Amino acid sequence: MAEVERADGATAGGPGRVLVAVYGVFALAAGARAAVQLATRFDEAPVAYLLSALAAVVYVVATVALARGGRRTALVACSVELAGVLVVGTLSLLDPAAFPDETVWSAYGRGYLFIPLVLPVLGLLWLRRQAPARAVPR
Amino acid sequence: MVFGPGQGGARVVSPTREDDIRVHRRSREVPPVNPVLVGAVTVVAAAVALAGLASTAARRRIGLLHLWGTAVLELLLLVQAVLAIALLVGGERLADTPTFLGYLGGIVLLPVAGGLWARSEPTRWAGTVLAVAAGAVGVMIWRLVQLWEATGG
Repeated sequence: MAEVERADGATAGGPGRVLVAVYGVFALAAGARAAVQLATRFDEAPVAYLLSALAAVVYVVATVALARGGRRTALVACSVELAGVLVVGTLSLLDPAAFPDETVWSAYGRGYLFIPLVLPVLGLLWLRRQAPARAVPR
Repeated sequence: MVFGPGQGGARVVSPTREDDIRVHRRSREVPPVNPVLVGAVTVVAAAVALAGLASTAARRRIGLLHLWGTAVLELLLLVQAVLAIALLVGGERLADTPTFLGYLGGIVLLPVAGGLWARSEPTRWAGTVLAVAAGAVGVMIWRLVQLWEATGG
């Protein structure tokens, strides 16, 4: 079972598929967490929970875009994600009172082994590597 | 600790035990997140993750071993889910039931999604995809244990 080399420049092939898998796990984790938070205790921390929901949506969009090769969408999603984890991470440390409950982006994703911080960087690097100019023509 | 998959709380009790313990107290003694199952899930998840990483390192695609491992993992998780739901229906109360159910649903989906996504990948990276899914299962099962132990009184 030798490896089949891929040369179509798709974002979902080879190592990209691993990225999609990790994104998928986070889409699931953030989505489930946001759904539970919004459904059961929205009043306690509306800002934090809406951010959770936003994070979930961004992860889902990034997962789908990477899986289906939507480069521009994936680029936007990864950028929003990086901005989100940096802004929310910083705010959650400066003003813990505004974030009484954890979100995936709290403290730069500390509750998730800092993967939320690393993931968008990897995503952007991967998209850069798979840029159309350098991709082998289909 | 007696383990009876899918039997619900009431009947999971050793035959020699006196029957004066009330039903919902008995189920407390056999947690739906069963230690034997949790151990088995952890071991199988770790094995599948290692097998996946090994095939990536060896520049090979995934083989039958990976698929069987994933199938066993899924089976264990389904037994776990049936057991947990049976006991929750039987009257167990948790501090955070919605989150528990969220994790339970998510963890059951992971091996299926990871397996399908890995099978359709023709390169050595298929193993790593599977390892990601199996690793997530290995983490989430322990989160389920935590959620179970936080009881709502």
